[in-house]
This record gives sequence, C-alpha cells and structure tokens, in this order.
Amino acid sequence: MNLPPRRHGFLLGFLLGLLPWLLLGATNGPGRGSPESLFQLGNREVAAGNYTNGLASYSGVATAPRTSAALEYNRGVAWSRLGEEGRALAHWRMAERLDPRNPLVATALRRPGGGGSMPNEEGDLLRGTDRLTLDEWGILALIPTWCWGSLLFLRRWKPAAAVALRGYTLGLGVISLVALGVLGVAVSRRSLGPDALTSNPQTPVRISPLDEARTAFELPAGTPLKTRSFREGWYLVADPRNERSGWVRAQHLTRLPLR
Amino acid sequence: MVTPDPNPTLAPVRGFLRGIALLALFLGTLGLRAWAEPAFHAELAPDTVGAGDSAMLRLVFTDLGDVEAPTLPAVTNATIRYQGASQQISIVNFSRSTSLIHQYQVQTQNPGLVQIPALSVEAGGQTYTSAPLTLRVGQGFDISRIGFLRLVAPRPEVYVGETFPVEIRFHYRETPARQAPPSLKLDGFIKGQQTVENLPPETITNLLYSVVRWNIALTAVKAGDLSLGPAEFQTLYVFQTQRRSRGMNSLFEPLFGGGEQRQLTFQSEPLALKVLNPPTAGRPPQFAGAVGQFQLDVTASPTNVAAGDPVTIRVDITGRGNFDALRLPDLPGGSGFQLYPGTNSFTPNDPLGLSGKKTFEAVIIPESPGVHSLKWPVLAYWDPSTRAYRSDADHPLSIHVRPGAQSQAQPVGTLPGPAEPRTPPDSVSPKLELPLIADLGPLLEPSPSSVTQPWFWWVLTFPLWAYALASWVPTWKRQWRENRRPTAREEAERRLAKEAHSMREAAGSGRATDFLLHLNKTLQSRIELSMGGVAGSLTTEEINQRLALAGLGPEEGLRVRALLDRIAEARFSPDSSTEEISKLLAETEEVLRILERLSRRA
Repeated sequence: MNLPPRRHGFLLGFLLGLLPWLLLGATNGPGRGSPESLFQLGNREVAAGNYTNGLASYSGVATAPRTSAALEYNRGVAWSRLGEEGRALAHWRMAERLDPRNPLVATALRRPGGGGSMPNEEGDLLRGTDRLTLDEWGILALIPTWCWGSLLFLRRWKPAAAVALRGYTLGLGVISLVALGVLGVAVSRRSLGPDALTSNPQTPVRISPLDEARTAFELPAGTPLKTRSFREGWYLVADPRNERSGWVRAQHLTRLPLR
Repeated sequence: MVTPDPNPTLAPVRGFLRGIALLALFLGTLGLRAWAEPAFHAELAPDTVGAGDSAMLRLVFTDLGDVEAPTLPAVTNATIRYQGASQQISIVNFSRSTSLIHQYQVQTQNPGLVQIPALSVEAGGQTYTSAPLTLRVGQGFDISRIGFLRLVAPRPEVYVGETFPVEIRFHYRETPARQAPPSLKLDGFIKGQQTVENLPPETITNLLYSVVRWNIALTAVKAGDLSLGPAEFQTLYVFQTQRRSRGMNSLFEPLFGGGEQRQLTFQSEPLALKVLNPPTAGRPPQFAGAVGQFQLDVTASPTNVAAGDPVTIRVDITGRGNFDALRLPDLPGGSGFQLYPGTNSFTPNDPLGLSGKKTFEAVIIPESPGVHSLKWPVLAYWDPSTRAYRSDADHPLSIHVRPGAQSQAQPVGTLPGPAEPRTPPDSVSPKLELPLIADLGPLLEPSPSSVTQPWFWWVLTFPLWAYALASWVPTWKRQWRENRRPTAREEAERRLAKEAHSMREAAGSGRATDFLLHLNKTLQSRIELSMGGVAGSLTTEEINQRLALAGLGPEEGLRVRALLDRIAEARFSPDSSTEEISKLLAETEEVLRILERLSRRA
C-alpha cells in the first residue's frame, strides 16, 4: 500500500501513542498481582478457612483509597469468621454506603450479631432514604426538576400552550418538590448521623489528641461515632448513644463516605 | 587533854584504814536491807462502786520473780476480767523491791456486796495467801433513767424464705454525745437493707421520750424456735459533774468539756420467733422457695419470626416478698423453644426492698415453624398472709414462627447494662454462613457524593432560578422605567422634541410668530444638549466661543450664527411669508443636524 509521507507519520504517531496504553492495559489486566486476581485469591483463602491470608490478599486489592462494595463485604465476612464482629461491621457499613441495595450486605448487617442498625436508624420512618446513594437521589431529583423548569419556560415562550401544559406542569412541580425534599432528608440523615466506626477492638478514646493523654473510655470495634473535628491525625468523636466524646487516632477509625 | 601521837608518821595510814572500815560498814548495812522478805497481797480500788460500775483488783507479787496470773474463782454479783500485768521497782530506806502486779477488772451488776475470797499462789516452793476482800456496790448509775431499747417484730411466726421487717426502737431522755449503729444478734436470719428515722416523742409513765427507729429487713433461713436478738446500742454520754475539780485537773476542764464521760450500752430483750417451713401438702411442683405476694407480666418481642430467630422475653414480677429468691422459671419440656437466660434487675419500691419490681430478660429461639402458644413462665409462691400456695395465671404467648432464613429478626428491647453494641450470646445467635461475593466490581474512590458539593445544587435548581429570573426581570424593568425620575438630559431631549414638533406644526400652518418662538426654543434646547449650560442663558458671544471650541467648521459656524441672527431680528419683525418660513425651517433643520453631529463628536 502506497501512502503519502504525511500519512506514514500520522500512523507512526498513532501507534506510538497507543503503545503506553497497551502496556498499561497489560499491567492492569487480570494477570498475577492484579486487583481481580488478588480478590479471587482472597476469596479462595477465605473459603479454605485461611482468613488471615485472605485478608492480606484483600488488602492488596484495596489500592487506597479505591475500593468496592464486594471487596468491603468480603473483608467483613473474613473478619466475622475470625470472630471480630466489630471490624466486620465497619467493612459492611462501608459496603452499604457503596452499594446500599446489595442484598448480601443487608443480610450481613441484619443478621444476629451483625450490629443491627445505626443509632439514627432504629424506628426511623425515613430510613427508606438509605436504600439509594445520594448520587442516585440527586439524579432522581434532577430529572423532574429540569423537566418542570423546561415546562415553565415553554409555557412562557408559548402562552397559547399554557392551558394544555397546566396539568403536566403542576404534576411535575409536585414530583420535583417531593424529590427535592427526599434528597434533603437523605443528605441530612447521612450528614447528621454517625460517619465513622471504630475498627480496632478496645479503641481508646482519650481526653486530648495525644498518646500520653488519659484514656476517657474504651469502645469496642464497630461502634458508630460522629466525628466533630480533625487535628493532626486525631479525630474528635462523639458517641451518639450517650454523647460521650473524646479523641481517637485516625487509624483506629473507619470513615464512612457521605454517599 | 590531847595525847600526843606516838608515831606521827603512821597517821595517814590509820586515816585510810578508818575510811575503809566506814565504807564496809555502809555497804554491809545496805546489803542486809536489800534482801527484803518476798510477799503477795491483793488490793481493790475503789472498795465502793455503784451498780454497773467497775473496780480494779490488783494482785501484787513482791520479789517473787515471774509469777503467772492466777485464775480467779467466779464471784457473785460481779464479773472479773484479766486486764494485764505491770512491774514496779521501789527503793525505800535503802530497801529495793521488785513487784509484779496482775490487774483485773471487777464489773459489778447489782447493789450489794461482792466477796473476793482469799487467794493462794505458790512461788519459790512456798504458798502465799492474800486476805479476802469485800467490794461494796451501791445503787450506782441507773441507765434506765437515760433510755431503753426495744426490739419489735411484726408477728411471732414467720416462714423460711420470708423477708420481714423488724424494728429496733431507742427511747431516750438524754441525747448521747456519740453512738454506734445498733447490732443485732442473728441466728437463722439474714440481714438485708436497714434504714433509720426519728419518730415523734412518746410519753411513757408520765415521762417524755424521744424515739429513734431502725428498720431492718430480715429473711428467715432455717426453721425452728429461734431467738432474735438481743439488740445492743453502744453510746457515749457526757454528764456535767456537780463538784468542781481541784488542782491541776481544773486547768483542763474548760479544754475538754469538764464533764464526766460514761460509756453506756443499751440492750433490748431478745425476741422469740417461730420459723416455719411452708407446708409440703399442696405444694406446687413449680414452687422454688418464693415467699410473698407477687404478680407476673410476660411480654415477647417480636412475635412473628423465622425459625431459628431469637425472641426476647421480658418477665416483670411485681409485689412484696423475698425477691432475692425469685428465679426465672425453666421452660417446660417440649415447648418447642430453647431458652437462653439473659439479665435481671430489681427496682425497689421502698427503702428496705420489701416490695418492688424484678425484671428478667431472656432469649428464646423457636425450633420449628408454626404458631406456638408458649404457656410460660409459671410462678408458684407461698403467701404467708393467707397461708396458702398461689400460682399466677398462665401467660400464653402466641408466637408465629415462619419457616425460612435465620436472619430476619433480632431480639428487641433494652438490656440493662453499659450502652455498648448489643451482641446476643453466640449460643443464642447461630452464625449464618455468609457467602462471599465472586465479582470484585468496579473499584471506586469512596469520595463524598456530588450532592454534597455546592455546584450540584446550583445545577439542580438552575431551571427554577432561570425561570424565576425570566419572569421577574421584564416586570422589574417595566416597573423601573415607570417609576424612575428622568435625567436632565432626557428632560432636555424631551423638551427639544416637543419644541421641534411645535415648530414644524407652526411652520405647516403658516403661523409665523409661533414658528419663530418655537424655533428659538428648539435651537436653545439643541445648544443646551450639545454644549451644556441652561437653555436661554447663553449669550451670542458665549455660543460662538463654545461652537469654536467644539470644533465647528467655519462654514457651519457661519450658518449657525446666521440663524441666530435671524432669530434675533425676528424679535423686532416677527411677520414672515410662508416662503420665508419654509426656507427658515429648512435652514433650521440643517443647523439642528449640524449641532447634533457636534453633540455626538463631543
């Protein structure tokens, strides 16, 4: 095939540009050491009863801060089988934030010993807002709101069609306001409720952000907490059940993303 | 007459020998006196006391070495207790003696005499005997005039396991300086809670007594004719003495109160109580020793569960009796449930804890699906007031058990204890084997949702804001136009347009005077707009000067000035023909355009 010199240069540049992507793809493919292979290795270890090895493999998958609901759930299962229900609960709560409708995560959290509900969930009629992530609620509110706004503009632009569009405008208006209200409730529930869990058994809560400070009290793993402020590797936390507060080292906490 | 010394050189030697002889005589005399006769005697001090008071008996062994304290015989009307020994060394008239003294306290009881017989002891191979002693006991201190102690039980018969209150009442006419809580001799009873309270004064045999009462909860633990008490109450009284102390003691009286301190122990009479076992006849098989009156309430939650799921049972027992003996009854066999005991707590209704509410919480797990009617628990108890066994009515609990997953429900209710995450015991919650997820899924960064960002809310509500602006801005603009005050330039332009219109109208109708009048005003307004100032206030010279400064060309300037001159002339000869008006109007329009261009350039 005879190509002009300009075309040769373009092809060469395209192939050279493609090369790094091909190499990167080969590196991140399902080969040995890839997140997928480590995840499967962890699954095999946990299934064989080697929970500690399984957890080590899972830790290799979690190239911080990226994680997945399945990974967090399986880590919780491994901790649970090791008898560390508190640590398991922390991972399951994280999985719930990432994928709130995952039936296995819900089963793990509702099972006896699974930690039950968070302090702001018991008997709460609005806990249905936890079934979707905030992004999903946001899209559900965005669509009717934009449709409603468009109809309003249309009525203004074409006054002749205002009467015909009146019912649609009213209906979409109601739907938009309800969706905005539910979105507001979902955001406030997550932002006002606990946003961290203790991840270490007998986590010391100190009276000031120093290792030498006196321990005010200790919390078992999996205790939901509300963080108030952060200072040099320490979180000021409050226990929502009894309003006790103190400082906890950041590595002793699992922060739940506001999702 | 002095005999001369036959050998004066020996005089010092003779003096020395005399001194030696004198010293020997002194030491010999001392040695003879130091070896006094060994002796033993008894002494009593004082020899007269009041009833209830004590005296001190001293047995003195002189130069008899270490002699053990002899055991004294029992005496009537007094109790003798050994107090200890001491040693005393004395030198009298060069006579040194060592005495060992054993002391005894003689506690008298009633007025009369206390005879202490002659005492014989053996020491050094010899027997020594003391003289008999007599202690006179007068009326002494009458403790009953201070107060008395009483022990009161509600009834003479109680039952094993029954908890009942007893009272210790102290009636007193003088308040003690100090006191210890009363003690009660208990044999066959267990002491529970105790309270103390002051009661209103009582008059007994025409004497007014203050009263303090201790209430004590007792539980009988063995059957038989038992004696309860006596109760003892130890006090310290300080009485003001009648006579004043003399000597050094009087110096310290103000410092230490100056009264006589006396330790008084009040003692009650013991109570005879008959403790009975609840009868075996008619005893329910569930009876486990509960004595009293009780009511029972049982609740379960949830009542609709899957097989294998835990159900929390709450048993509230209220009433009066021995709550310590209450135990959660066992599940009847074949009930279809497994019982896992939980916690219990007691809330007393009175300070002694005789009445109150005891709450048991337990977990039961249904073993099979179906509707289970659980008749449990049954509490049987002995009611001492009616002397009969009683069993509470059955409390059937209807629990609907679904087949299926084990993980649908949890026990609800509040378990007492620290507010830590509640985890049912492992035995209660059989671990559900959670499966692993095989698909890793997309790896996400668990960052906060976009909803938490401010820009999202602007995007979300943009149509509403835009619509609101689109609706509001035209309205606002119209209102602004309608309501605002015009500027001076707008006013001048409006005036110019009006005058120009009137000028053209007058020219069209041939009214020369009106035409020239409006022509003048139009031109003045145009000059005002183009060069500033106030219309009509500029002189011709000023106008010429400003037009030159504004860059008006010479030809255009000539035309403007010619028009201004023509207007000035018109003041004196306003009449003009129609043709002249038309020419003047055309010239005026041209000058207006020139001035407008000038205005734009400026």
